[in-house]
Amino acid sequence: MFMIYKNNLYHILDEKTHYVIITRQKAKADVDFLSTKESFYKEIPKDDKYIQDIYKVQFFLKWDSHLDDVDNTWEILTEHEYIKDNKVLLKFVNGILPGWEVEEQAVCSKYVGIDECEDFKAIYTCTVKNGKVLMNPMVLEQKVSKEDFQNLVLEHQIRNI
Amino acid sequence: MAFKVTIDGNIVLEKCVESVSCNVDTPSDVFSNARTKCKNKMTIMGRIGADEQTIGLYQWALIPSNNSESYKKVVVEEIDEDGMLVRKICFQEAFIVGYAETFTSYDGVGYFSIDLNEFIGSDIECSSVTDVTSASNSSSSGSSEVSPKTESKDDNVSEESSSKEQKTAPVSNQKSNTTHPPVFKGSEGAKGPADGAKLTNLGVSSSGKKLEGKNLAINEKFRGDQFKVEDSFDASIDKARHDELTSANYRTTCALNENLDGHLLNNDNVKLSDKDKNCLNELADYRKDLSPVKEDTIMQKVIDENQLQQYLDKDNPRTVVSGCASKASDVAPFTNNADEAYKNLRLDYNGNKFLEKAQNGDSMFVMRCTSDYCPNNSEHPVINAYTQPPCTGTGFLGSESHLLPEYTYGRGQTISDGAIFKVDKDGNESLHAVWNKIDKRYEIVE
Repeated sequence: MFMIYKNNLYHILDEKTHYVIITRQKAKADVDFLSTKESFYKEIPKDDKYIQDIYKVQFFLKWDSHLDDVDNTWEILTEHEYIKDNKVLLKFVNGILPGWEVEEQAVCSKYVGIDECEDFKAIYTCTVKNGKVLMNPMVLEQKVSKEDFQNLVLEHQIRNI
Repeated sequence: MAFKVTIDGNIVLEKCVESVSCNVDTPSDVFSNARTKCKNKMTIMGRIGADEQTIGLYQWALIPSNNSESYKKVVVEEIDEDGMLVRKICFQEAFIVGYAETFTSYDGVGYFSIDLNEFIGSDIECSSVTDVTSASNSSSSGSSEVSPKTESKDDNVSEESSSKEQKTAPVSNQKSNTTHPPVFKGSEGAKGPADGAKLTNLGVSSSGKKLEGKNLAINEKFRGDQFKVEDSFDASIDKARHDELTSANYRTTCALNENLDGHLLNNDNVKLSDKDKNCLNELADYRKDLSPVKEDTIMQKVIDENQLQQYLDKDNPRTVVSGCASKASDVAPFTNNADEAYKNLRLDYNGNKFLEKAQNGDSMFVMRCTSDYCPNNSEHPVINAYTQPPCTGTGFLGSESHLLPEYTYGRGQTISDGAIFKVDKDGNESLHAVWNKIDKRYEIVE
């Protein structure tokens, strides 16, 4: 889960009575933040007036494997290995495709050039939007350019939060 | 309070027993549970070396469950300071589902703990001198607060009822209980695999340091030896059906190590009999009815060195559980070391990194974690054009010996809490890393 708080992006922990906002960027941490060796974090009340958005986000693109019964839509996670040197990592989790790298039982992967992909989009599921708590989650689908797609994925990677 | 424990085979314990606990599972109205899930249990704990021979307990625990000697009559007597019999409990046919001995160098004293189950359908006797008097008094005063379970007479009635209810189970189940020395998979598994490994959490880090504070708490939450055979799905299946179902499930895919080179692209060469197909239909029904995975359900996954390093990476940690995982309660009792995990979890897929570990008796790393994502009972690997053996597609791993449900987490779902353990060839488990919720990664326990 992510939160926009005072115009900055944070990871959050939902601790039922409060949120914990977390960042690895010292520049996003004011004097009230505590720190581990790697992260800065602060507890905030759930009705904190500076909460702008709370959302989950998924990233998708299309790439044609030219294999029967293989969907053209691929999800790209924010794990760091998914975008590397203008390539994206595609993971197939319903078996082993010919020539693909075996990761584990029924899971294989392959790097493809991002130029070979199309229809980039981000799907946001918001529970708070523009400071308003939503009764039902709002799903927003956003089509983006290849460049914006890469930037969005990188922006949501843990080391950049 | 003093105890006297008498076990067939000239085992009499009077000095060493420190505690006895009994757990009565009242007969269920549900017919299937009445025959498979009746778990009247007893745990006896005591000291080793208290001027009494306790070696007989260990020797009993080593007897294979298909040997009739593994079933013994156990009588426990609790005697108060006045010498009055507080409680006498007799399991006519008890068998061991767990046995542990612990020795420490701190005080030189050893401790044993023996977990017993009563064989389904056999009688339990419960009597008391002190409680009968008390119950009579209460009864004469018209009190309705006396629980029937504190009265030995009523207890006997209860057990008779229990026994009758169990005896009304279908004929096939009675057959499994009476025509041959009964084999309860749980008791078989509790003794561990042939090489004797039994998962034992040592309460230390993988560097050997005694755990304290937060790490100790995490260790207690995720330790593998808390998961008992008798609580697994595998043990919930009646013995007679268990073996047929397991065999049918095993036959849906290749034999162990048959597809290490990946030459089998699918399970098309598998020929199933009608009987097997019926078994698979039955398994499918079981699969639909599995207890749901919840946000606090501890899942287990054996990970390789590469995955371990990804989870431990400080800058770009892996934060998800992906691919296949199982409930720890279902698989932990059957993954006591790398070799057993390799066989039961069918880690023998093409490109796996576990074969060498299993063959060499190396340690393995086991992740146990929770996630806010809860796969439903239909989320498991399925057969399609790209599914390679040893995938079964049934929702159960292709173990030759056990029925182990599996779930899929796809590309990955965020971990909410967890720990990574190192398990050696003897089943000794130490804490290697714990989940840090703030840093969103596993950190090594020093």
